[in-house]
Amino acid sequence: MYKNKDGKVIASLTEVKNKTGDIFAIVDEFGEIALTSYNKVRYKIVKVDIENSVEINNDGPEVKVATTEKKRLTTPKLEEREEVEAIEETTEETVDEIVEQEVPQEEVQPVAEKVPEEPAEVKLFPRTIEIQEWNRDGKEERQFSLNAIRPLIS
Amino acid sequence: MKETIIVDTSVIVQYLKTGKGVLPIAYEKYNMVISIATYTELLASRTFEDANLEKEVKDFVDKYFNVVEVNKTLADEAAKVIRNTEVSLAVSYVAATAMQKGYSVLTEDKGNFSGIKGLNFVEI
Repeated sequence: MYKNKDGKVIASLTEVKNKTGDIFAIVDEFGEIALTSYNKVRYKIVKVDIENSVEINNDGPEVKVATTEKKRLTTPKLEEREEVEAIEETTEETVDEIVEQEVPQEEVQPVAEKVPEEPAEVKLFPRTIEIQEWNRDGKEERQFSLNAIRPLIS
Repeated sequence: MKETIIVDTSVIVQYLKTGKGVLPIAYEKYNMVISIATYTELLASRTFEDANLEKEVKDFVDKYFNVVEVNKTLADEAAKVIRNTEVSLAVSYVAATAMQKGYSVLTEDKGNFSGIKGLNFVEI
């Protein structure tokens, strides 16, 4: 385990397994470490300010990650040496990174229910009026009809 | 081209009294005429002693209906209707107009036309 000229802590997986034991204890200590395997950086583990929480909602888990790095603890003395292989050279390799990332929260627009519109009824007259309508079945009308059909000459 | 129907008094009175009924639908679907008898029946109401109201309803009739007047031929037909069925004068004119012109009748009270043969009614 050593610190390179850029100040990054480089550790091999074997070191972590055999000497340190707890990878997260190292990350807690240094904030960020790069893990090598066969002399190539394969992993990076970043310590973020732990306020992570997972909220379960209807759309699935939403991860909230704080963006402020926790103030790093005192760095133990580490030897500084040149890296055997530059990190850039490993870009074609699969590098799994745990990075701090804001999960974009998609705004879900409420979908208005489409209510079938009823065609507006034509208004032919602006209001109602109280009509005492003529009673075509009234006594006068009835009498008229009966009189009308009576033979004119008896 | 829209079919022409003859609208009976009862349909118009119902609409003016309640603001409801089949008249708006009929207006959308048909050309509407009324008999001169319906015109008389409608305006005979004492409601229209109010001149402003009378004018308002006359304007309404002029806007939405053609008024079919009675000629001698139609009067002959109406006389036969009365003779055969003893209906009122107004009903005889509505029926005679429908038969003479080939119009279907839109009414709220088919009973008024009971016994009159050769009439078709509009169902809305």
